[in-house]
Amino acid sequence: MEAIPSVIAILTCEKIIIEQGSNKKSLIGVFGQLLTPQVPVVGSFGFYARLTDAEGDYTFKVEIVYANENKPIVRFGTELLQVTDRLGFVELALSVPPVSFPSFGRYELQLYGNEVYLGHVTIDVIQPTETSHGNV
Amino acid sequence: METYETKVFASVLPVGQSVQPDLNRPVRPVAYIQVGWLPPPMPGKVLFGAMPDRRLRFRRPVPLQVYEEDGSIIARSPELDEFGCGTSVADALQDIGKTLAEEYVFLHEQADQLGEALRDQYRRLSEFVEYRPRQ
Repeated sequence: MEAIPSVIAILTCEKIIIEQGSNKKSLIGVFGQLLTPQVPVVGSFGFYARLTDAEGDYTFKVEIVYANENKPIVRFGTELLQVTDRLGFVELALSVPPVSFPSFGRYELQLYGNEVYLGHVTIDVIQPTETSHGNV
Repeated sequence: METYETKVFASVLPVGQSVQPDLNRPVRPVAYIQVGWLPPPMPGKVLFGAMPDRRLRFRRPVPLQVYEEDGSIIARSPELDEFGCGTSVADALQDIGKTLAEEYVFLHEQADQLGEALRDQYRRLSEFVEYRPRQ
C-alpha cells in the first residue's frame, strides 16, 4: 500500500494561476462562503491542496457532499500521479468545472487519495442579508 | 482603513439548465466529473487517513464504520475501539482523528507507566500511527 499523504492545506478559491517556469501557484479569491439570493447556484472554482508524506502512485478524488443530508452531489478526480519524494510536497491545483449547488447549507469537499479519506474543506451556500459583506 | 468587498463569483442557473465544463481555464481541468445525487462509494465504510496532528502520520489507513445514530453521525473503529461523532460525516471523521492523535501522544508519553490494557491499546494504535521523522 502507498504511503498515506498528510494534508498541509486545502482551500477553495475563485481562480488558480500557475506561473510558467517557476510553477508557483497563486490562489485568487479564497472563499468559504457563497452568497446567493436563490438556489440552485452554479459556480466553477479552483480546488487547491498541499500534501506531504506521499510516495508512490496516487489518484486523488474530491467528493462534494451536501452535509445537511450527507448526500454526495459531485465527484471529480485526477489522473494517476507519481510521487517519488516522501519528504517533498504535492500540490493539487484543479480547475473545477461548473458545479450546481442545489440547496442552501453546508457542502463538504472531501479529499481522498487512493480511496483513503485525507481531509476536507467546507463551502457554505447562504442567502445574503443586509449585514453580509460578500464571500468570506 | 479601506475595505473591499469580494465579488460573488457564482451565477444563478435556472432549474434544469445544463452546464458545460470550461476547459479553457488556466489550471489543469479535472480528469473526470460526475454530477447528481451520487451513491456513496463505500456505504458505511471509510478508510481514514486524515491526521490532524502535524507531529504524527498514519502508517496505514484506519478502517471505520460510519453510520447515523440518534441524529448524529458516528465514525467508529472496531479495531481500536474508538469513535468520533458529529453532525456530518466530515465532522465525525475530524472528531475521531483528534481522538486517535491525542490518545497516541498520551500513550506514547506514558509508555513506561502503562498497565496491560493500555499497553495493548498503544500497541494496536502504533500499528496505524507513528511520529513523523524530523525533516
